[in-house]
Amino acid sequence: MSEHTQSGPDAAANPPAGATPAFRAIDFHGTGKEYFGIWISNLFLSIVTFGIYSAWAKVRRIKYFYNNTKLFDFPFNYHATGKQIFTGRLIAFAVMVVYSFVTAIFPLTIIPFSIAFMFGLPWLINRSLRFSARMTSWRNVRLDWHGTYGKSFLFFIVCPFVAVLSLGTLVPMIARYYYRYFAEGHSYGTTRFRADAKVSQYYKGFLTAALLPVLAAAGVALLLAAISAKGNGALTPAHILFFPIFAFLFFFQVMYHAICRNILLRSMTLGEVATFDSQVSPLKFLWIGISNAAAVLVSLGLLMPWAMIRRYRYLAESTGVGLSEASHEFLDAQTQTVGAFGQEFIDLDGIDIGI
Amino acid sequence: MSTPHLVEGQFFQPLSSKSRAARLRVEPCEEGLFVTAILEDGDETAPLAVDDLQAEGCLHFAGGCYFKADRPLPQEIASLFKSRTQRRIARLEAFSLPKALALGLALILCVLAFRAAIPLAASGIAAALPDRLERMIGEQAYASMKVTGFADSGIPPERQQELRRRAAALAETARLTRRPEIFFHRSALFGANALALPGGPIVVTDELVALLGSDDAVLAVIAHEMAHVERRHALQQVLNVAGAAAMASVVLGVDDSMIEELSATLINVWSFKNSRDYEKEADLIGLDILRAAKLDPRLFLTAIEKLTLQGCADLAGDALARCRDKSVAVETGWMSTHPAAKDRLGYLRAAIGG
Repeated sequence: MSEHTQSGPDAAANPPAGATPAFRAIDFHGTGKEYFGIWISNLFLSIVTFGIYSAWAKVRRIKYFYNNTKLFDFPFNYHATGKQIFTGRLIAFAVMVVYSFVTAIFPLTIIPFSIAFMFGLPWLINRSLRFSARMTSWRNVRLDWHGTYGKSFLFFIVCPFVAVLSLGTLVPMIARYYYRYFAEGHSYGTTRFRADAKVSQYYKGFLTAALLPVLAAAGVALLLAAISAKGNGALTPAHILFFPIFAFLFFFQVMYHAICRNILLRSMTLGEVATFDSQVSPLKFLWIGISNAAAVLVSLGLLMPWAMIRRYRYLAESTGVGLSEASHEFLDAQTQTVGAFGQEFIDLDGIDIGI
Repeated sequence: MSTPHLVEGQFFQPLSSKSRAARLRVEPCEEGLFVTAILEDGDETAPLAVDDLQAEGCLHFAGGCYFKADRPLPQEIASLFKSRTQRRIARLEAFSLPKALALGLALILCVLAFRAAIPLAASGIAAALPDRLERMIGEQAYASMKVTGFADSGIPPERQQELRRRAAALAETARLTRRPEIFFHRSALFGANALALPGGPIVVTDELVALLGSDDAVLAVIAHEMAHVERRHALQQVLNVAGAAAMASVVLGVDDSMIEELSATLINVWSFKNSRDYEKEADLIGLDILRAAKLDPRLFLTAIEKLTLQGCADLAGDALARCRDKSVAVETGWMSTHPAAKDRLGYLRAAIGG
């Protein structure tokens, strides 16, 4: 269980005005059984409609998770429609088909396409984040995204190269600025989020996250070396090198993600009235990921809904929000609607954005 | 008008998080629903048009007003805000074991139906696509591969020309509709191999020519590759994979990395099965091409045996015997693009009758 106060149906909806914020864990009421019905219905309807329903299925799935996520007794709401997602998906799919077709006939066109993709990606990511934010509301006020092309280009195109060239030593520095950009680029209505975690916190987290994976990788290497020493010839030096590196990267990535989330949320504020907390245990988060994958594999996918609910619930229960001024009125701004193309294109391309 | 329903809750003006206690008045009428909010001071809003009902108690209205009921709406009121389709889907989603089993079974049947339908559709689409387009894809692919995987051939030009002439005669006697060009290249990347690119050309590596030894054996392999081109297998394979990938991405979604990996694996398994079917078909048509040209079909059998055993070439004695037994006994795996040696040699022997 997390260290946050759990809010029940009888708990007061709001803390007293002007008080030090009492952290309240985010409530999640979804169940594996309930979600299984939605998941299998979504799958069935998507298949019998040749995939057309999958756009509406996506909306249904997100609504289930959002609607069951409550903060101070108010659920989150999701406003995208299946038609919007379907249109975005159709355009994204058409672009991908044209790309595949043209590059299959004229392979050299992959060069201009790659350049166009590199320069177009920050724009697409901004569109995707904006769509996702504008479709999410709590207490009738929607989130928004204000990221700029230049900063998105820097974080999504330039920084990955810098991280590799620095052999990982600059990863914590980049993580600090990236997470800050992600948080401060968002607003709740017209009120901006702020985050001011120090670089040293990310470096400390980096070392913590690397410690266990180094031990795990060393263990795997020793095990493989022992197997190899028995001389059955099945293991080459490449195997002995590859598996520990893979184990290290997998363990490290999951644990560092959890640590960065904690650092970011603990330093985050919304205007003068809301503060946040995150108590995700990197080891528990890792265990949930590994055991979920095993359960899904053993059940041939049937435990997927249970696994998704379990992971989501843990993250929700480990996240707290404090509101110091109950009567504070957040305002939203009327903005132009943004299409789902960016999000669907990013999804289709398998790019993961978020924290 | 019927008796109105009154629901206690909180009402929000557009673009504001500030709430006021209110009662929602919901009254079915001839036009559909008549909805207003009665605020705590007694004021009543203008009629509200419901946009969306979420979380069984959150109503979003056109224009941006919002109402959150203090308790989940009773079923008879919630259903008033849902379309007939939404109500049907909600019934489908309500969990019960028999329903889950029935849906699971229906899903398996659908997947099996698609398993049969996609290759058929791929074959139909491939037939409808112009030859010119397929040839263009093949030529472009060959141009790229020449840069990355092929070097100039060391086979004397006269021998190359003779093999080309005899291959053209094979196509003529077998009355093939497609006459692919044949190229020879040295390739460390592909080793002893022959490839049929979409619409032709066919590429034969120097390493294969050296392994097989005789021109007749090389022609036997070329006949197999000609069968691939004749049946447009490469194009069908591309369409099969594209169809399966499109279906998997829309059905399984791509927002979960675990599912994404799973769908990529399924697509591979799916396409490998098709690939094995195409190889078998090309093997058998290749034998017919050889027979039509009065060449011994056993040449192809010998070529496949040599290719199967090429990994054992440097061994001797017991090690060679073990390697031969092991290579020939391999059974078909899910992840193989070609039929396993055991199956392949088996059906070829049966088809040749020896």
